[in-house]
Parts: sequence; structure tokens; C-alpha cells
Amino acid sequence: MVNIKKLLLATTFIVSTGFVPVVPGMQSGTVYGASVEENKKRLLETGRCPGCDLTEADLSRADLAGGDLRSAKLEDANLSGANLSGADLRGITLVDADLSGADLSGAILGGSTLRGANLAGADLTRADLSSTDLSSADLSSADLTRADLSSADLTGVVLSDVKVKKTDFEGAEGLTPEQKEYLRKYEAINVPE
Amino acid sequence: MVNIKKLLLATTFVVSTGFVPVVPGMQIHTAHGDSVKENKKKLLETNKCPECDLRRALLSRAKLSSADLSNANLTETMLTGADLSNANLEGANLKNANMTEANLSGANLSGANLYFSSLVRASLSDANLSGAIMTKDFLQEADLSGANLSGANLEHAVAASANLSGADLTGARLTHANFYHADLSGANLNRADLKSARLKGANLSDVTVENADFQGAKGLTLEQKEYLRENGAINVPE
Repeated sequence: MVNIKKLLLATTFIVSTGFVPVVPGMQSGTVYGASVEENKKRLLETGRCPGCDLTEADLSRADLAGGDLRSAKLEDANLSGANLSGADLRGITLVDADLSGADLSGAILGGSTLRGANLAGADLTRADLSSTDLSSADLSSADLTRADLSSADLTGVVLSDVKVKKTDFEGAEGLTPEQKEYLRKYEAINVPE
Repeated sequence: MVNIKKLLLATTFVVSTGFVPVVPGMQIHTAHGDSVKENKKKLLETNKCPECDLRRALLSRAKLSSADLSNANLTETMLTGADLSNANLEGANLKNANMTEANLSGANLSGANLYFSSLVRASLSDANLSGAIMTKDFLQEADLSGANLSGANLEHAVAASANLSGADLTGARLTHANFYHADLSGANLNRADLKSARLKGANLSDVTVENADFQGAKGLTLEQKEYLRENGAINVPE
């Protein structure tokens, strides 16, 4: 009876959660996309996981300085307090991700999608945020000193108490007149008319 | 013992196929689960399944080179790392499909619906994507060199660091698309709509741009703007 119960339990677990345990010989999803946990392990060990699926991964306070996450998918991921300084994050997808208090100083985020991301209190000094989708992102109290936000989509962005000295806003879209006034007052450059 | 065997069999089945049988109260696979399972089996055995229902099928790293999947329903299908080189996917529905790092070189995807699908780091060299719907697609680092994208819709697609060298984008809709550091050298952009496209760091050498519309396009250098105006592009920003 014990064995039957165990098997029943395993079957119920698989059926109810949709989670299929990895067994030897079953390779699908262990390298590409499907297994977020495998990708997370690889990232933490090597600092690299370009193109990886890390959807909803918990990487809070992880040290990924100088790492390579180009074109990776990190929707809804938790990167609060993580160290991503100098990391190559070109083309990364961080929709609705939590990056509050993260260190993104000098990180390359060009061409990335940060729609709805929480970047409150993040250090973005000298970061390349050009051509990014930052619509509805929260940048309150973030440090954007000398960052490049040229051609960024800033529709609905929260910019309260943001530091913008020498931050480049050339060709940025979606800023309200009040936000433009604030940015000019605190010495941002190339703020659109 | 019979029961244990049955349970073992069921468990092994679930583990080995990744297919979760339908139980009451579990709605995801109920309507078409059986036919999808049968169609997947048919596809893997015969390399063809035109007009089949393969919704949500798990086909990561499947070997489907030259497969016939014309007009198949592959909505939300997992095709990461799959080999679909030279496959026939004409008119297929690939909405929300995950084709990250898949090989689609030489594939026929004309008229296919790829809305919101992921083609990150996928190989699409010399693929036929004419008239395909690729709205909001993720195409970062994808290889689209020599691909036929004439009349395709890539509005709001993210193609950062993608290789589009020599691609045919005649009449393509590229508004709000992101070509950050993409390679568009030698591409044909005649009559393409690039309104509000993001082109910072993009390689535009030797592109043909007759009547291509660049209104509100971002990130162009002064030299690029001059080149575009001289070669027949319209509404190039000041």
C-alpha cells in the first residue's frame, strides 16, 4: 500500500502542478528556455546566460556584475538589490521585473524592454538605456546621472526624485511637460521640446 | 500488482512524454489534448502534419527539417532549439510560439501568423517570411540574413542586434520596431514604413530606401540621415 500511495502522490503531483520531474534520458527543456531553474544555476555559476529564459526567476541580491544576459527573458523576475554593474544586458526583456535598489551602474541595456519594471532606487549611473521601452516603469529615486536615455519610450514613467545630472534624453518619447521641466531643472541634457 | 503496474505506467508516460493526461477540473488540455497528442506522434513519425492542431505541443529540439506543417495550428507551441530548416510552415499559426534558438533557415513561413512569438537567437537565414505577421516579436540576435520579409508586419518588434543583412523588407511595416545595433547592410527597404523605428547603432550601409518612410525614426546619425535623403527615403528627421 505504501508504494501505491507514493505512486498516487507522484501522479497527483504531476497532474495537479503540471511539473514533470527531470529524469536521466529526458533532455527536452534542460538547456533551452523551458527550465528556468537550470538557467538560473548556469547563470549563477558562470555569470553568463545569453538568450536564456529566466521568467519569474528569483535573483534578488545576486552578484552578476559584468555578466552576460544579452537577449535573455526575465519577465516578472526578482532582481531587487542585485549587482548588475557593467553587465551586458542588450536586448534583454525585463517586463514587470523587480529591479528596485539594483546596481546597474555602467550596464548596457540598449534595445531592451523594461515595460512596467520597478527600478525604484536603482543605481543607473552611466548606464546605456538608449532605445529602451521604459513605458510605465517606476524610476522613482533612481540615480540616472550621466546615463543615456536617448530614443527611450518613457510613456507613463514615474520619475519622482530621480537624479538626472547630465543624463541624455535626446529623442525620448512620452514625457509630460511637467517631467520635461523637472529634468531641465535638474540639469538633464537634450530634453525634447 | 495490476494497480501498481497501471500507476507506474501512467507515471512513466507522464514523465517520458511530458504530456499530462486530462483530469476533471483541469481545463488546459481538455478540448484538444488527445488530438494534439496524436498529431504530435504523427508529425514525429512521418515529418508531416499539414493543417494539424498542435497547440501548446512540446517540441523543443525536435528534428523537423523539411517537415510539412503548412497551415498547422502551432499556437503557444514550444519549439526552442528545434530544427525546422527548410520546413514548410506556409500559413501556419505560430502565435505566442517559443522558437528561441530554433533553426528555421530556408523555411517557408509566408503568410504565417507569428504574433508575439519569440525568435531570439533563431536562425532564419534565407527564410521566406513574405506577408508574415510578426507584430511584437522578439527577434534579438536572430539571423535573418537574406530572408524575404516583403510585406511582413514587424510593428513593435524588438530586433536588437539582429542580422538583417541583405534581407528583402520591401513594403514591410516596421513602425516602432527596435533595430538597436541591428545589421541592415544591403537590405532592401523600398516603400517600407519605418515611422518611429529605433535605429541607434544600426548598420545601414548600402540599404535601398526608395520611398521608405522614416518619419519620427530615432537614433540616426547625421551621415545616415544624409544617405537616406540622397537615396529616396521620405520624411527623414532633421
